[in-house]
Amino acid sequence: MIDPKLLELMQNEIDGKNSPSDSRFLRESLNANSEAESMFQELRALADLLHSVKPVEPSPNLKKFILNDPGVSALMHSKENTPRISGRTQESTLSHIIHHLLEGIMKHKALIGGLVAVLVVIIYASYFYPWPATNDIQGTIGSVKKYRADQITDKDVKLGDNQNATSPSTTGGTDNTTALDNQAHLFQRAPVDMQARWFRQLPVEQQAAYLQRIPAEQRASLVQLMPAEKQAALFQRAPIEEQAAALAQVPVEKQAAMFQQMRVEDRVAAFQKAPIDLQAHLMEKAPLNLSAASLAQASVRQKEAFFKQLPVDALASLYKSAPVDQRAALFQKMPVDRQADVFQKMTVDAQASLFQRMPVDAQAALFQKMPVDRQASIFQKIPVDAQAAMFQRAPLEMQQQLQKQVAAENKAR
Amino acid sequence: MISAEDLVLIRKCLGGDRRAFEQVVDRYQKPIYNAAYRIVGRREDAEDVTQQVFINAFRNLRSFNEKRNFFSWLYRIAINESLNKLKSTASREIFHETEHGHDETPDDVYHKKELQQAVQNALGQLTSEHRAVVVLRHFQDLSYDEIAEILELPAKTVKSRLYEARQQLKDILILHRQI
Repeated sequence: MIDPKLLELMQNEIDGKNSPSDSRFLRESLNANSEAESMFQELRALADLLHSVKPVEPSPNLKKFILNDPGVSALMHSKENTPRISGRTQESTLSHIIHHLLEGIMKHKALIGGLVAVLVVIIYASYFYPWPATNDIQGTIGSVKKYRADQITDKDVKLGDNQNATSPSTTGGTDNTTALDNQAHLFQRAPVDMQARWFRQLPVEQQAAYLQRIPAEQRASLVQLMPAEKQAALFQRAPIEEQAAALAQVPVEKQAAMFQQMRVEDRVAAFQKAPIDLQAHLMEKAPLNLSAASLAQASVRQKEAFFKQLPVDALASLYKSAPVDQRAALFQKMPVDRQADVFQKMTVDAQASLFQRMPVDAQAALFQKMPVDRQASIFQKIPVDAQAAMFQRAPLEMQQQLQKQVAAENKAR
Repeated sequence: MISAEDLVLIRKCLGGDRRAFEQVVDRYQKPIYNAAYRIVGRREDAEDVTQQVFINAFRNLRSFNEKRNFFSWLYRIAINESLNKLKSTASREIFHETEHGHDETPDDVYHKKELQQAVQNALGQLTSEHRAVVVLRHFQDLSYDEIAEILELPAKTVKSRLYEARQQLKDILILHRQI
């Protein structure tokens, strides 16, 4: 019977969840319990076997089938206001309209009441005083006056912190929100350079409030026209999701600078919401302590992506910045090729110290990726039992080379 | 939490942007297809499931809570669709398909075929609950928390199911001399 605690440690080890001290404890326990050791080896083999199963490629036509599915096409057409829609979509569109109508009625009870009253009067009047025939009214009405919205001008939009009636800061509650909504609505119709001119005159709190009311793309173009310190101030006032989205839309060379202008407590949160490739770019450019903090909070999937995308120097610095007891765990999460690259950047002592903290199989995999001269140096610095394990797992040719190299180094001493 | 890129795509989809929907399909069709394939065991069924996942997702996009992770939401639909597909094909013999590349030697193909078949058959012997956790953990490489979010279970339950599933898989594969 295997102790449940040991079983849990085995499971955690397979899933890379053990701390270095837990891993050490597990190794010691397994050495003393052959039944547990055998079960662990089987579980490890199972995990390796499942890992070796390659993903399957879907048929190249699958995407076409999805996009051409009548359900998808109908939904797309209905959103583009094309009248040909399927029954199912009609049903959802209808329920959508009814929902909006009900919402509107609830919001504008007084207005609806008034409209109903007007309608009753019109029906009453048309019954007793019928509408004249078209011929009877021809020529009595002047030229048609079509509605055309005038081009927006500076006068139309009263922005700024002048304390007039339309300034959001002087109105309260619902009025304030409505004024903001109206102004933002008007604001969107102006060309970007005009918007930027008005925008600059506003206090930062109002700017942040306006930004929340305009579409994301417009928001990003407007923010990009602001000076860097203003961008930082606006950034700090935006919701984290918006920060991450805005960050993803600015040019790569500006991203790291913007990121560093954010409040420290917001950086890690915004970082986690950014796309992986942007995260990797930011990690490369951000100060080391911030990169390390971001890495510590990243999910397994994010870590893997970072390890694949970050340059070796950035990875090596991250490794060095991690607490000593966490380095081996961090290192083991990297792909073996990247491990070998990062390993090359360490001193021989650091390499030997790391080596001793790794499981034997991981040691062997890494060892086999190293140049022969390094292998010999490391080999001499690790304990005898680790040497034996390493030697047994090395291919015959490597064993012979290693023997030669060690002998040569010993001779040189 | 949803990624900024997904959020932008979803909002564009809601606005009727067909290209945004195409991008969502490009981004997620492979992992969704793979998860479905490992659960249902047949390419044809996995393609049906994948197609249905995107149609259902698109149809219900308005109900998607932007505070949730989009891929977790998609995976949830995928798992449900796969399990439905399994129920509807319960009488058919499944888990017999294998994959191989063009540049492999006959030995490689044989070995890989045997391995794939053994793994698929072993997966097919698990309950659907156990199969789902194994697929999400080992083939999709998701964390306990991510699996818990997808299956709407406590992480502790995910962990215990994974433990049971691994024990069963291990025993099945040992019996077939694959471990």
